Amino acid sequence: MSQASRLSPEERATFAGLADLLIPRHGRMPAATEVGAHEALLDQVLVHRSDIVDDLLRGLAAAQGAEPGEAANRLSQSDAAAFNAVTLAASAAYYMCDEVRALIGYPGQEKAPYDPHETPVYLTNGMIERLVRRGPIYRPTPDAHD
Amino acid sequence: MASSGSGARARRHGEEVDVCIVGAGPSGSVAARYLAEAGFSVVTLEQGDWPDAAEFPGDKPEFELVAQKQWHPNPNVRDRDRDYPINTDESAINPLMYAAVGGSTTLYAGHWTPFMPSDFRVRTLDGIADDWPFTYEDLLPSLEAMERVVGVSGLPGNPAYPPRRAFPTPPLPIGKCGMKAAEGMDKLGWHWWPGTNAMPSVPYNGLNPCARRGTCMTGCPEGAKSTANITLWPHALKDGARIVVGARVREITYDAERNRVTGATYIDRNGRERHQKARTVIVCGNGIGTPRLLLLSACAAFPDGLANSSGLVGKRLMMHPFSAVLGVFEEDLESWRGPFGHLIESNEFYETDEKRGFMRGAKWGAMPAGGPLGTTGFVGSKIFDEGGRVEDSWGTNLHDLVDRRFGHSMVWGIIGEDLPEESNRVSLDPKLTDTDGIPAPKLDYTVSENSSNMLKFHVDRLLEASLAAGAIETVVVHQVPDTGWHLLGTARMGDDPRTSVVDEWGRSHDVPNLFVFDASAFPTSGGVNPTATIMSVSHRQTMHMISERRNVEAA
Repeated sequence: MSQASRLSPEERATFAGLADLLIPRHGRMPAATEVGAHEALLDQVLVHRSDIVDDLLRGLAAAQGAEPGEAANRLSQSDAAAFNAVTLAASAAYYMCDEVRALIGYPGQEKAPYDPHETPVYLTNGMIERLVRRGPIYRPTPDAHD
Repeated sequence: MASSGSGARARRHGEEVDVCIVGAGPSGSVAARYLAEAGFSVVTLEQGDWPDAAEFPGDKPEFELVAQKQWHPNPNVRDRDRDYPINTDESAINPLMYAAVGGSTTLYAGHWTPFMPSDFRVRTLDGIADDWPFTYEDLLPSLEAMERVVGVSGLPGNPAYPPRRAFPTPPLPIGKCGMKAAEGMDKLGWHWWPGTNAMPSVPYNGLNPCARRGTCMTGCPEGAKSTANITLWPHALKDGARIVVGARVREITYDAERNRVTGATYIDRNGRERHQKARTVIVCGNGIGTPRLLLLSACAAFPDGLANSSGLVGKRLMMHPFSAVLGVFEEDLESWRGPFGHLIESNEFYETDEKRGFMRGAKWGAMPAGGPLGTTGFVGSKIFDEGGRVEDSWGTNLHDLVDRRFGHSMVWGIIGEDLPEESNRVSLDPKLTDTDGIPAPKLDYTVSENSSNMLKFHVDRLLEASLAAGAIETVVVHQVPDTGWHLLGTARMGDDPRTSVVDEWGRSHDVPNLFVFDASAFPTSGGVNPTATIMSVSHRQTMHMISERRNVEAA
């Protein structure tokens, strides 16, 4: 049984309420649940971070049935580990979403091809030349050999 | 020591070899590679495994998520079976390390910053701490040899160093982020230089060119960051060196009658105790693992720890307390792009100026700020502030913060020289053990007033540099706890057996066939990332061991 499937529908609903409080719709950005941060993305987070499941479930149990804003503030004061598990799960799920990444202009940690033999700008615009003209800045070895 | 001839190898588990090396990090791997090439029979005992690049998360969507746990550099956070726990209750800095072939370089950022000439003459120049038993110039041939192995990328001519041989591969792009940092330094007339990194820009010695993924600190999925498993071990294995992974050494064995070490006892992956006999033992377990093992190897002749007649084993721990300044800019800097090694570096305030209120200095490195989750590695853009009301850091404020900082941030990191103090030390914890029941290390470490003043001065200068570059917002993180990357000084080298543990060649003053080749032996810490110097010192000592092979007093 995967860790994610341990979440009951009630727990998932509680998480959804908290996730939308933490990450609401704003400007061009969708709310957490609009991109499924409480569904498959949450499951994905918990597959990779099974270590936070117990803290998360404890946080969701404490928040169940309460108004999300009140529950989140109470949790942040009373159980930091549970609060951190909820916020990490919500934010990680959200920022792992392709749609969100596209909106903030994040392609992920992609390769960025370059030409290693291209002359860098700092060699042609005078920046390095100014440094070299200033001369050495190291203190030489006092008893250095010639 | 008479080695067994070219291509010598131990045929059976435990059969006596010329050299047993404990630890396959940068220093141990250098020794294994060149000793095997010279015909020594070599067995290296490594508690970790061979790294598997396919497991590195940098090319996977969950990269930032797992960087905070499974790939965290703090072994107490990571909590893998192969890690040993460390009691840090009395330490202001958490030590960071990784057990694997390649050691902690598996997770390092790859800053290639050799110690400078003054670092070897701190006592002579500044009247504090200690001189090294050799100079920058003595070490330079080994440094240049190591750069040929590592495939260092960089621009020659840095005025922070004496003239020297060029790097084997061209510099990596500094990107928009590095150029922004450079613009600030240029305006102020302060020293900067394109970052020199242990990652080639073209294919080199089994390494692929850096692909700029920016995930160096969770292992390089491109096979582009220079680590010993790629650059040294293929050669060492070809020349007959053997390595035993999953081997946790619990004791270096000692024959009191002959005053010689005789090998190492270790627990293998299946929990069986084994013994590797050797005519010479070289310890390369890092600044915590090495003193831990020497203390574990206490015996009747050395009740306070093997080779510890000086009483200095475990003392003088230096860890480079670290602060950072985040600058936020209007322009899109694509600041998730790599390399996560430094984009540019500066040694403007490296040397002592007593008017500043502290001795010695620091090197700065400008780095990217990572992905949107904001806690990549040890700095990142820190977008989540957990203080105050939830709504202050979350809700619409979160979106605004990400809009403002993500991709627009640059981090200046400060590596300041940590001076040696005997009160900063490694001992054995009376209760805590690893999963094999071997006592774990305990740290007592306080950030000195000198280090604290130094970091504050450098933070102020970096705020000036960030504003000169056009930062619209700055954030300071002072003395970050999870930054004990550099573990130095706990078995110092020197000429006097009363005040040092090993001599300049890494040989124990007390036991002539016991050696320490790692950074434990560093008398001072420098103010730069130490891997270049660690590998160079090991290379110099290894070459000496080879040249003196007929004169070594072996078991």
